[in-house]
Amino acid sequence: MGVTSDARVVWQFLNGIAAIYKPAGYSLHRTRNTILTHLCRDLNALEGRPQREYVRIEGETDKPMTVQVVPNLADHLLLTGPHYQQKDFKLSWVNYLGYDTSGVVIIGINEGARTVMRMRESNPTRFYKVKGVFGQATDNYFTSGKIVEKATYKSIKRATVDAICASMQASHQRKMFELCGVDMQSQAAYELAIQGPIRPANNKIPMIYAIKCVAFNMPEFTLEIACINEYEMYLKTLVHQLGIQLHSVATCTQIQCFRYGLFTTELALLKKHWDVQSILDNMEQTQAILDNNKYLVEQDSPTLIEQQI
Amino acid sequence: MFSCHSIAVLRRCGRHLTLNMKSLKVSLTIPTISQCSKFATDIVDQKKVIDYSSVNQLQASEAKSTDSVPKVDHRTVGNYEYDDEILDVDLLMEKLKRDRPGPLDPCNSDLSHLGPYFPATFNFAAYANKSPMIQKLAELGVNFAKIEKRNGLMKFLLPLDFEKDMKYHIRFLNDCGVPADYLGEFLTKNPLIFKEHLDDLYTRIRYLSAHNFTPDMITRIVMKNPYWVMFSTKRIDARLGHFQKTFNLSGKEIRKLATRLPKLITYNMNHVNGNTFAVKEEMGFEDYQTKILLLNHPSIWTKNRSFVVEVFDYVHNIMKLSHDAITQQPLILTCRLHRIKQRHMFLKKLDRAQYDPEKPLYVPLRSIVLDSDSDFCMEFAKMPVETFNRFLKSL
Repeated sequence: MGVTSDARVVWQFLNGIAAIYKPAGYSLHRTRNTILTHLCRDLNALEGRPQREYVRIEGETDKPMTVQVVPNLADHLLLTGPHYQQKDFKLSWVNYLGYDTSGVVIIGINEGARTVMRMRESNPTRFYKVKGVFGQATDNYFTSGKIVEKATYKSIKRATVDAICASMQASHQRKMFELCGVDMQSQAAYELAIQGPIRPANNKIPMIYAIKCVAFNMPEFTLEIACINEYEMYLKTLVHQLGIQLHSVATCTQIQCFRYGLFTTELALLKKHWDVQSILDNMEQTQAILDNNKYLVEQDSPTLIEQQI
Repeated sequence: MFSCHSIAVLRRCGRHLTLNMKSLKVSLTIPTISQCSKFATDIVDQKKVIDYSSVNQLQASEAKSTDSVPKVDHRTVGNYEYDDEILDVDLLMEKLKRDRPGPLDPCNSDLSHLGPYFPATFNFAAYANKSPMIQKLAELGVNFAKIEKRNGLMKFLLPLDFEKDMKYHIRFLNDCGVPADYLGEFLTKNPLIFKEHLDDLYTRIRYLSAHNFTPDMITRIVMKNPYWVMFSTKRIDARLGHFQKTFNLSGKEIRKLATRLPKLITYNMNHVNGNTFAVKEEMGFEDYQTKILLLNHPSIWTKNRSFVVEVFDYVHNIMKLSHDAITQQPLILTCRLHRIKQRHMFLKKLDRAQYDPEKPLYVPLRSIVLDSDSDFCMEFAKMPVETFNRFLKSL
């Protein structure tokens, strides 16, 4: 890997996919804005293109005129503004995480924005860690809201939580086959079913493949959820539903997307590392993953594939 | 109705003239048109009926007038002249075509003053190579790209002349002690200073020195708050008085405050009063504590009120710091909440969240606010920064 101080060279390389760790309480649009600001800041600190030249022809037209080449003031940084500005970049994301959710977000910069579209269509599984607390319910289903209801939670045991989770998972799996678009009694449905879990035909319907309680420390609990097509409010209401089914109430306190397809938090960049150097390094790593797993950008199977990180 | 018709005629003449302009001296166009207008007024005065044939005559006479270029002044175009003369238009046009120079003929006159007009533009750059004002200001380091983003400033700045409208203002800034390398930044922030009268500007500085501000203090005030000099002495006096009364400050203290954060004095007073309320009532600081906060860390008053209250809520209720402790280290109030949260939760996890200076393993609030992640982890959390990063990825 070479070393350069020329912004134009760096700009050439700034095309691809990067994994970002979005903090909670920080909207994705703001994340995008911050990343772009940092990219511009770093690129403008590097050596830019030289100032253009200006041919000045002066004097009276009926006498020999003077022709001189001077630096073009109109192309000076004070007149043009910084060479790299936010509007010069393309930046879009593969998965959208809501305001309260933290976790891995895959973004595409410049040319990478095309890959983003194909990755989004390939629709890989996402893995969430959702924390909740029993005994209180808020108006917006999240800990930031106003408490509107309180209930006791003494009767709740680990086993009951596990049972509810298992029943939720089972009902989702049933729904999965109902929504796949084939007749439940047909041979086609049977052949799909023997291959394992499948993706929903419509990419608007949330689908939970696995839900498991991984930590249980009264009144707090943590769920791990593998799903597709989910959205922030869906996960919040899921916790709320869980509380109601346990004859108590529950509120979501934290949602973290710790894995998106093959991209894990290990790879994702923290907010303090959102700069050109780290993003370029990250792009290289993500590109290696994409190269080794073609199905990430072009999905041809309706069933979930065994993934290896 | 009549005058409309005659104006149409004149327009026609005008077009005719401009078509021929290349072959004529440029100065010709203007007197001819003015004469045409004179002709029009003559017609209107005498209320004379004009028909289309006279239009032809007019064009013909114009054509004739172009014929006799050196005798521009002799061509008095009185309307009666046209009635008397009978002109052969075709013949005249022939003659004109024969005599006028072609487009490829050499031109011997000086045309350097001719040029296209400036097209409509959104930025200063279009004018940069032509305007000496922009060139001089660019030498000082004024960032025009920033100025043109603000509404109306371009329209105000472009007609100004450096020697006439700007030189003395810059000299004034120099007199105030603003160093030459800072002038660009100053004028980028406040180009509207050129709108103010010089006498007013000097009066405002005299006001400060009359109130025992030393020259160094004045320099700092003008540099740190380019908009200070835009405020009339009356307004500044009222504001200084307001701060002095609200926070019970002595003369020396108010001077210290104005020098420390000159922006605060000219800040939006509603905002300042809102933050005063937040500090006193919402956060519950005593009057003497408020005064210490104001003098030691005035930028609390320029920050977003809900943001400061949120930080205070976290620091006071979750980190369990008393009002006195916060008063002693007010920096924490303007630190970003997520930074405080991250570091406090990390320390808490390690059982090291101890903010009392009298007990062992004390973590100063200053280090939470100012230290870099690696320094903070090494010195106070006693952990490698990688652990901290992994902790952040679990939030």
